[in-house]
Amino acid sequence: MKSITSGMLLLLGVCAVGFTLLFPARALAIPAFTRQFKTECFTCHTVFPELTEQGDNFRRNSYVWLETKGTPKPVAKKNEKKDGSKGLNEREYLTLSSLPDFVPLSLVGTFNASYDDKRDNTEGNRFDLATRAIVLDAGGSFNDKLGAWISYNMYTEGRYNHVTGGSATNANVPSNLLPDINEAFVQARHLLGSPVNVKVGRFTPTMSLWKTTNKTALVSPMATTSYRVGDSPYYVNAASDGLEINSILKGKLAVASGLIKHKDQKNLSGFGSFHYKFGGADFEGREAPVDMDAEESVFDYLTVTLGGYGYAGSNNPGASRQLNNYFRYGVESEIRYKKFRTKLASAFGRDDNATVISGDSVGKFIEKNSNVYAVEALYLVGSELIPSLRYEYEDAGAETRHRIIPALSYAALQDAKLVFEYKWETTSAHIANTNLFNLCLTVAF
Amino acid sequence: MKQLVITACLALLVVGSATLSRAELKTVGTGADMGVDITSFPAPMKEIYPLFNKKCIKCHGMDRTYVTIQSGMTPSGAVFDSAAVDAYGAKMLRKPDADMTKPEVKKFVEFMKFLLEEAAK
Repeated sequence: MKSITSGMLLLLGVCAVGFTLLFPARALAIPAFTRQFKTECFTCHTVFPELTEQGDNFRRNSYVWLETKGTPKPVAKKNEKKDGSKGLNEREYLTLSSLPDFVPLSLVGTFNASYDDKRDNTEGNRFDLATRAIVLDAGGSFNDKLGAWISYNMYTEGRYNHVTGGSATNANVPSNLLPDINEAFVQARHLLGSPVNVKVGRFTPTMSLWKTTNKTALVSPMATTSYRVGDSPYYVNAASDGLEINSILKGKLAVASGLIKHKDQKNLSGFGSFHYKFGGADFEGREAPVDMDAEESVFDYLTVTLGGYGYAGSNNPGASRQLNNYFRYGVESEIRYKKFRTKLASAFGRDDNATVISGDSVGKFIEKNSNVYAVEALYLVGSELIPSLRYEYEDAGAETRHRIIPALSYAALQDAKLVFEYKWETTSAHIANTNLFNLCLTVAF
Repeated sequence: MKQLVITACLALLVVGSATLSRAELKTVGTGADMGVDITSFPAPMKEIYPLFNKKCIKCHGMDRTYVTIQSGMTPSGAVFDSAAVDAYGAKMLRKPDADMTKPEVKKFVEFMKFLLEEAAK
């Protein structure tokens, strides 16, 4: 164990130093939206894929680029060239066709080195080196009226899930299908001139403040949005097929509601959420004004976002296929102050029959309550270097788990990052703790 | 016909001068290290210039700043006017890795508005 751990640490050190020396301090990033809007990755991300305010607003507004004042970008007058004469401008045929100038495609490759001291030693995989996944992302908007997003797992080692980070049993798609399409949806924006947007397809329902990918390190998803109960595949940030209606009201309040159709289910599942923001840029990109003549104040820098959600559904988990009715609700907040960022999250729920029981008890309803809490703090040493620390408490009805997860994310290039994450976990059912080391290289282009 | 030609020429001159008016801000160099010719700037603006360049280049090349001011349009196609400068000032103040203090942002906002006026001459 000691020699393996030493080897792991040596590997981490060599990789970190090599990565630092390999790349220059400044470089241009090239993924799709950077190419399309001629701006750096850092405009919308810290260490990708964690989003800045600008990035979060871009996502919320159907991938329409919002100006800092909150006004949409001007559209060239039809049939009028730059010199005033009549005819089509350069590329205006694309505008008239509602096509974007570029096909907005990006590839993301993930490579892992990990050591898990509790993995079954007979597997010979306590230390694992893996080309984990190649994911194709595509997204954009058409004439600012229709947004679209597709995230497609082109290659995965094992049954990898782009969102939840790689566990072999965490997919929330039909059990006989690989999760090749993680998300694929379109969103009609400002339907009939109203502030209402309608989203259709497979998507992560707008409930949590953070999609699972909205963080610097991808390895361990936040427990509040990824925990599962018994054999049920459901988790809060699971992508599902459905319809969502969402809207941004007066810039500060975002509301969403929708219906989900799980496979083999008679009943539809339903959800609703609200997000409210104090300070900073609102959800439509309008900056809260700052009185430059006044003394410096905490409120010049403070941004607080609050969120709440609820979900009610049913499924048939496990081999017994018994009906399981369940619900979840959660309260979250995010605080940003200068270089600090804190996420506070809680989730609660109840499943009335989520666990398969052998023998005579098959069919017996086992009700399980769940309570999960998480707090994460990040500090931006720079946009390219972010240490973070998270604590999680998870009681999903079986045993309680405590996790402490420190991580260091370093983007030497804006589109290439190295993440070192350590996860310590202890459970009420086991005396020994689990130690997981993970070194992850991700490149997007 | 002659009157029409003269009128058209005059109109073209007016349009041409209006188009050229946004080129009054003289730039020096190219790419990320682009600068502006500050020899004719008032002393307070000359003082701000070095710090402005030092802070902006932390996140993006200076060509982004000066071409945007010169053209009145951001690279993504938005209007960049005096009101936009105020909003960008607040944005840069809050941007975690910008490392700009409030007094610095106040100076930068003044500087960018001055540059916009120069560009419009």
